[in-house]
Amino acid sequence: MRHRHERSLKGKLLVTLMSVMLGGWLFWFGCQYLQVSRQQSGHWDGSLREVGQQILLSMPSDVEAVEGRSRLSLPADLQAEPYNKFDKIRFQVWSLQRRASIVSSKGAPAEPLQPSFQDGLATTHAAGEDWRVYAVTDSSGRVQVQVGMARSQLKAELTYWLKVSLLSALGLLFALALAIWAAIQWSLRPVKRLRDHMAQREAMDLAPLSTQDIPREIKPLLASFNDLLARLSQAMQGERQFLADAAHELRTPLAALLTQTQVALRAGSQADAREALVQLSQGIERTSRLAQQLLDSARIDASQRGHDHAVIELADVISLVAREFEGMAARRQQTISLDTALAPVRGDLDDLGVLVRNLIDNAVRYSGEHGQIRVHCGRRADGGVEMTVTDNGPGVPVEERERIFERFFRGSTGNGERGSGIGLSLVQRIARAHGASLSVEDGRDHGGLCVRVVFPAA
Amino acid sequence: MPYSRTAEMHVLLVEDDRMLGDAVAAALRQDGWEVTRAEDAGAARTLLVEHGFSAVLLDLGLPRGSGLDVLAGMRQRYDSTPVLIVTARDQLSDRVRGLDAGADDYVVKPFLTDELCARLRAVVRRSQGRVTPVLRCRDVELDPAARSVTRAGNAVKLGVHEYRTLLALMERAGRVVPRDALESLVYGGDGSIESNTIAVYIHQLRRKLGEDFITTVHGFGYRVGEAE
Repeated sequence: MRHRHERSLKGKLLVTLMSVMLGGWLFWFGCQYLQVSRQQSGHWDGSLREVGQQILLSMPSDVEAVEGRSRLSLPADLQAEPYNKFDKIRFQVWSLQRRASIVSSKGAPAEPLQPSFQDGLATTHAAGEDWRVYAVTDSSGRVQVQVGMARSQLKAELTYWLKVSLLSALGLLFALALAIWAAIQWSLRPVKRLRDHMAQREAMDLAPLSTQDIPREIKPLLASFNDLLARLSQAMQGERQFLADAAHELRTPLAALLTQTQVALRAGSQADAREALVQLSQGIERTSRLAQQLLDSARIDASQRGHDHAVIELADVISLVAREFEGMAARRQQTISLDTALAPVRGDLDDLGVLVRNLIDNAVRYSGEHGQIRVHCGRRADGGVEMTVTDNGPGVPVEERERIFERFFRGSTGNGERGSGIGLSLVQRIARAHGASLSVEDGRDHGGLCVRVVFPAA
Repeated sequence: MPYSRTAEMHVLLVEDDRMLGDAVAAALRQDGWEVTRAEDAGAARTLLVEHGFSAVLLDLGLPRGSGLDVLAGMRQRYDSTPVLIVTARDQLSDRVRGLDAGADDYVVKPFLTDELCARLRAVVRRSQGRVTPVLRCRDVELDPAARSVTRAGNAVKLGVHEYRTLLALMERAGRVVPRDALESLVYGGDGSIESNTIAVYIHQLRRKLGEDFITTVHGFGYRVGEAE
């Protein structure tokens, strides 16, 4: 993963920088090439003209009469000398009247370099080659000097120049690439350090990362990462606490269940066994309620993000959920009265079900035998929706009312019931997620409790 | 209750968990029911077509096809056998879907056997008292087998409780149905829950079927149709 080229910042930087440089250099080289070839041909044209005129001027005036004589030759050691640039120049001296060669240089073709015998610079074709030719005729019009250079020679020279500059440029580019790579490596050193540091961390080490020696450009990234780490750490701590508490909460009723089972197994009489089994059944009911609340809690944590809020009729939710308590209320000789009017609320059906269930559950559980529970919902004058669950149980002392929505808080007035301290914390979280407000006041008959939930208008 | 001890009380128990299924079957047999078991949706469908049951106890979370599909299939072929659905406590949406698909009532896991048996008896009792042919009153038609309601030939969409309220009233057309009787007919409860929600459903029904379709008889209850 680390070595994948398209993902590496270094590779990307290097490739980008090098392509920009290569492109720039190619453009520059193209311009140079045009310039050089133009200059070179100008330079050679000048040379041809100068050489031609010099030759013409150095000829004796009766050169026309000279014919077919033998020539001087160079000493052997000079003949072997590597050619200089004038070596490539060939010349011929022609008698215009006879159209015959009078004198010519070594290596010059037998036919005229300028077959038309016109004066001046021209590009011609002679002896199977392209030539650049300068022809000059003396003032009397008898003798013409033709000086030429094969174009292949010119080209060879240009190609040579091209090769040299390309090679040197490639060398330079390579050196630059090395330098850039080193510079990138050097500037990204803090990032690598950071990476190594993070790789060495323990899985659950959520301490913030040090921002020392970190380039300014990377600091904001690191800061937001540290922020995330801090939030994660907080959440983890909460979860750890919750898990520990939950395990603790489950252990007690499970121990009770086990004991009751053993009591039932050892019971001497049918009646004793029955008594133990009744206890066992109640214990299981309590434990499964706790398991359900833990499950609800986990589910609500998971669904905190992204609610798909639909309009839900709270009155329907209340009547659907209230039925769950029918049997329990009947056993305790309690009455649950529903006083519901149309109450549309924007929210999540399952979550609202959990909210309503826990409020009624609390009321049923704590109002004792013959308790009276009243569930009301309806629209308020301001367009919002209000729901209240009122009971005539022992209520909650004023000083504890703020705290009853805390997780695992248990009030001092239990009416023989021992709750898990999860239910109302669930209610609070769901209310919060729905933008609803929660308040607690006195219930019926100067006692009991009334929990009021006010939802914003749907 | 001698009522539940009769031999023709035959329930189809659709539950995929064998341990829970065994326990529930044992409890139902103790209560005097004859029990046939199905462990998946396919088996349930086959059994439903081949036998007539007094009631179906249907778990909604089944392997290979949801319990909801079984229920929808039954209602599609106008099988009006009462169905009691078993749902998880936290999935209120399942419960609503089940009732919308034509379930008669629900119990939530974990349940007490007494409650389960009481609910089962209640749905059977209600279905036995029910007239199956299409009910008519003025321009409103209610087909209990198809669970459909039309007004002047146009389908009317009703919530589960609205439908039950209307059904209870139309089965007793021309008679005044007392409010508390209506409540137990709609909810099938045993009286520990008092509710005014019937008024809400009446209000909704009037809105959908015409203001004067249901008459309020002050101090007594409600009536549809002309007084007998």
